[in-house]
Amino acid sequence: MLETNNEAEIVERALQGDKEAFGILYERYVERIYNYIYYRTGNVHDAEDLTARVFYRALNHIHHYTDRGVPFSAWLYRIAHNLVANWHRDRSKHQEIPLSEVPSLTYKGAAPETSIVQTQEQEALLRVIRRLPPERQHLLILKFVEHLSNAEIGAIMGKSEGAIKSLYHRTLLMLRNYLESVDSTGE
Amino acid sequence: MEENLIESRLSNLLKPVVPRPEFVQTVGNRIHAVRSTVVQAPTTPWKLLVLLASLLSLGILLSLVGRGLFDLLISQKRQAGS
Repeated sequence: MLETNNEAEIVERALQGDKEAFGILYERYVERIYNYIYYRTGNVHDAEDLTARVFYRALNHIHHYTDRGVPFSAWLYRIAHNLVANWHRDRSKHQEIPLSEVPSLTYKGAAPETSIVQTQEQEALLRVIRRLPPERQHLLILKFVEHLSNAEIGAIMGKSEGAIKSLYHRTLLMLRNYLESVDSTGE
Repeated sequence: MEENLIESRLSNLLKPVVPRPEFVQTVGNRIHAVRSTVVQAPTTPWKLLVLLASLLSLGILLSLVGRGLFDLLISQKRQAGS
């Protein structure tokens, strides 16, 4: 039985072809990668498809992985980022999926019968978030969905804690400007 | 608009979503199933293609050189005969 706390050891074993080790990494990160892709694509079908592809690609290319002192999840997020970027590029007639799809999902901590309150404000906010550069979307997902600290986000995104703090502040300002322009134009 | 208000709206909107258990299990099973074949047999078809292409190119080159030499020999023989 593998000691599941030491990630470096698990990754090393996975590199040597240990099935169980890669399985542990999969179970540890599948939900996080799924969340990232779900909020980047906006629908369950593509989130599942791309999440599966992230782990298949990781599995097939794990021998290319080198431990540079960043979390293993950073490598997975990079694969996910590339696949999402390709997905956006391939969708010539990209249509944003309205929030009306969200209630089909189960939110952590929410009672099963709890339905998500759908408001125009939320839809507008989601549309605005999707207009942000991918890096800023990633930051918001890690902060609000994963509840990671600036230091942890920095480790994943390859930036210092200060740089993340600054990027977050600028992201909020950009969001505020977008929302104000939406409110004033009534989009 | 206050930053706190935006943060509040973000935290109301961006909540963790749980993937379908069937999906997680299916992918997990597939990963276990393909693991051995992928890692233990790192077959690289492109290497085979490069090898075949190289052999074909070499064959064509040798045949051209051979044909050139043959023509040269024939012409020399004709010159010697005349």
